[in-house]
Amino acid sequence: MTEYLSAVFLVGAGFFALVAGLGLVRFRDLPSRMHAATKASGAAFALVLGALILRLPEWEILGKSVLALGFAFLTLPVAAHLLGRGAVGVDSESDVPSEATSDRGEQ
Amino acid sequence: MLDIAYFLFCILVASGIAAALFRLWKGPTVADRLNAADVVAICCVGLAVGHGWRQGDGIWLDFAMVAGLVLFVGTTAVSLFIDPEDLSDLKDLTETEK
Repeated sequence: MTEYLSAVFLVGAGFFALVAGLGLVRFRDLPSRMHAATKASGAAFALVLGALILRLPEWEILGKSVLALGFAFLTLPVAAHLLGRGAVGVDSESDVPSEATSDRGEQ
Repeated sequence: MLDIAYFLFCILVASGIAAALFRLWKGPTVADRLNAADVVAICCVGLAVGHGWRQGDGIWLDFAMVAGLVLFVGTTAVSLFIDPEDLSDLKDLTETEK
């Protein structure tokens, strides 16, 4: 029974990886693409780790999977946030987008 | 059953990687390319863990942990060097093309 469930998890992980790729191709602007790519790839990673836990129910696998998933869920949003800051042009000191500050300066 | 699931998984993830590679090739800004490269790398880690799933082997989890951390360091390092002027340059380019 758990074998079938883990197979379903694995196919779901592949589906979310495909969703991430399709979102990267189909969306129009950079924030939409980042939204699609980050969330869907995180879901795919979680599902493939869940499939592995269901296939091999051992404590060692569970601990390593929780560690890998924790690292991924900690680092993926932080990396996406840094990427968004760099793309929008937030100055690290002012915390305000450079376009907004320049508009304010012109007025 | 397991073979069919693994085959479907490989096809789906390969399609996702192909789509992300298309964005990596075409992507108008550096941020797009970096984002697409991130997705390609995560999908490759997922493929490795799926291979471990097929073989009933948990050794690929170590690779998944370390690759996730190294991926974060790489994305952070490159995103610190992204120049937001690229976006305005692109805007000027499209306006002049019209």
